[in-house]
Amino acid sequence: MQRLLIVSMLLLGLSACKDENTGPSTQGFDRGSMLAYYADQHIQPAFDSLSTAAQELHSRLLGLAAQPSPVQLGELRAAWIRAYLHWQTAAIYNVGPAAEQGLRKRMTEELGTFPVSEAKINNYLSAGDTSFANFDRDSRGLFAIEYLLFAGTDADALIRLAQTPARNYLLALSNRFRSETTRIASEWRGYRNEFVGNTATSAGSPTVQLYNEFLLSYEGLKNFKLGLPLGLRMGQTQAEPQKVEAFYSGQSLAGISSQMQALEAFWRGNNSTGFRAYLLASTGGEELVNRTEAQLRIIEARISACGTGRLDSLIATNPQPAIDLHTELQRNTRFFKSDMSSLLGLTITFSSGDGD
Amino acid sequence: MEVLRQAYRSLWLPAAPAPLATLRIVTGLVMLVGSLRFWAKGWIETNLLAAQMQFKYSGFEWVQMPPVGWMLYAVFGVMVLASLGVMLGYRYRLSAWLLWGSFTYIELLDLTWYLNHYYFISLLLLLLALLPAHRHLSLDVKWGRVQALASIPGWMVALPRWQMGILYVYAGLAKIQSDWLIYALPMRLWLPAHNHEPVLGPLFGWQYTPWLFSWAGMLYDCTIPFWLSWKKSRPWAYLTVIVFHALTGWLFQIGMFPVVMMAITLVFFDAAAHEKWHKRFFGIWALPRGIQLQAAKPWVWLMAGYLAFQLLFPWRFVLYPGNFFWTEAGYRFGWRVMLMEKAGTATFYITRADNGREGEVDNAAFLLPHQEKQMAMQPDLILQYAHLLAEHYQNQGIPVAKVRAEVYVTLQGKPSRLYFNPQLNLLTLSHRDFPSWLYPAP
Repeated sequence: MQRLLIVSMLLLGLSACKDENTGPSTQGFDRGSMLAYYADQHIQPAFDSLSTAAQELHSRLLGLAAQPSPVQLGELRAAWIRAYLHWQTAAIYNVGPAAEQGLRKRMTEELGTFPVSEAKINNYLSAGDTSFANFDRDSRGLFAIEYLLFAGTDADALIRLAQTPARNYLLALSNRFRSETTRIASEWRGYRNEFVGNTATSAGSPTVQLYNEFLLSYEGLKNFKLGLPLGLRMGQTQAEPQKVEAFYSGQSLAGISSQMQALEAFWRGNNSTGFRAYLLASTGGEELVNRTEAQLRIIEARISACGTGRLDSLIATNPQPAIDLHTELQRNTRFFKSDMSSLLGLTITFSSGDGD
Repeated sequence: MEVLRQAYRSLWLPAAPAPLATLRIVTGLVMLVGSLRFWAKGWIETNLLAAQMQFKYSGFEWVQMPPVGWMLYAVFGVMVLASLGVMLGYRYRLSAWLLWGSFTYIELLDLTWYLNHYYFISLLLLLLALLPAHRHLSLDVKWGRVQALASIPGWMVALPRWQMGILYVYAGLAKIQSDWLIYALPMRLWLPAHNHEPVLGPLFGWQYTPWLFSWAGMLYDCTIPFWLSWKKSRPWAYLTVIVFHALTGWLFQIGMFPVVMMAITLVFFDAAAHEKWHKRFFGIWALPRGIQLQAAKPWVWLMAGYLAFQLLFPWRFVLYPGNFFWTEAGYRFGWRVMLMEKAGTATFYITRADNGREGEVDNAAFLLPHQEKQMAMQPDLILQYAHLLAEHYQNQGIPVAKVRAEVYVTLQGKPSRLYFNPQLNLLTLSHRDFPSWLYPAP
């Protein structure tokens, strides 16, 4: 045995001499600082901003006159749009208090399901049922609020807001959105140390959860916010522009742009830490970082090329810029998915199992 | 030469049945713990029943999931009881065949769960079912169901040792290549992810550790059966077995495998050691007594054939062209463990036959994350998935003209490359053929 060890040490010495291109660090990448950076600079601020925006939306609704004015409606809608844009950042982080737990699904599903069902919303609304004790997630959340605030003409919306059933349902929706986002923001403060303290890389560890949620969010952007309305998904027989996210407010492209910016900011981190720095610290990471950055620039250009109008109109009249964006997002998927997980030794599966 | 001659002669001399009895007992025990563990972790549901599609082994496409879920639980129930039967040596032949059958059935259900060590356990259970491992230190003997044996032919004890030897040496030979030894891949990718571990953590962040692990792993695998066979080095070798497997078990997600190896390598100890342990655990009852077993000639030939197969089958990859990390032709069933970091991103597109419209498939709607991960980097699974998708949509009344896929694969952390022509209609290909349709390895 001793001989075996000596031989292996000798061979090790020989082989080590040959290699001149070893990793830059001697202690390895510090995942603890990365997690602290994400928790303090990205996740907590995102949930705080979202819950503040939700509070503001809700208090505006509470202060709404019996017969709202067009000015009030405008302010209310502006408050919704602010909440919607903050949502794009926070919804990347379905981790910890925002993760699935028991019957409660991930925050994105609980509060951000789209497209919503107008029929279901109107049923619950006329029945005065604000219990949310059902699994119709497409009858509540951010986009059910949007439906009641934006659907139809301004006059329609003003009439709706003057009616008790719609007002009550809207208030209940907004109250739930406010209370849930506030709960997550405050629980995250308590969860922060547990999150930062666990630097493992096994299935279910904070690093792996964070990475997997990032991936899900990215693929969701491509598949559901673009692929679905474009009619690119198997089983669809045509484009379905009305299935864009934020259909009633027409804010879809602003939402897509915000989400992509948030995903990119998350991936980049800062100069010393974050997933980009993590990649740079691993064998062969620099090439992947360069390829990813080049592709991200193309994606940014494609998003600009879609303009600032309504995504559903774009899809209905001239879908090519949206299809091109979808294609470029697809080209980047492998960089985020297989290449990144391989280099970092992170697992794409959520549950555990045996390997060999 | 004299050593070899002696070894050969000992194959035909009577040997004590004690090592075989230990092997039977520890195998039954680890199978009992393993099947209960699988059950307790909820994996019957999450890993098997939750899957909508299953990937099949070539030649075993007929192995199907049971029609209702409880039947799969029943199979695990059989496995638990049969493990007990094997461990105790109770109605041994029945127990051993049931254990082999139920375990192998579960393994054949879905190729995406293929593991070398599951294959090894299947082989070991088969050997145990064929050998008279129950005719010493068993309930069958104690209750007079079978006659006890005082001795068995030497080759019956040698056989499981050889099987283990093949596993180790082949696993070691597979590591003698430049990726593993010179570039320390994939250890260089995997170990830094463990720099957070207590005590040894800083070691995994050290830049030379991957080389240390790669070389030590290769030397361990190549030589450990010989150290275990030599009486003088055996205690140290077994200590190394424990340290090596404890370390890999702690670092990598390999479940029961380290325990299995620590338990099974006990078979390398000589009969005297086994008899000493038996006396300590089972008292006077452990004394070998009874008749001498002489094996019939056909059995000897059968076992020789089995060994020849085990020696040759892992080499079939040399018959195929190209980089077998890339093509995976002849990769499985060859004791190639931990050799590569490979991952893929696969997007499938289906063209309808009626209106010519092409749609993109959401893999997550059909596959478990684990299945998708495995499928996205293995050519035969990619083809199976294409056929399964076509079948699924055709059953829904949607005629399918073409299934194509854009697959990018990364090997050993190198930038991912297009795996094959994304315009290729995968329905025209069969998963049983060599994947000549792949682009060459990078």
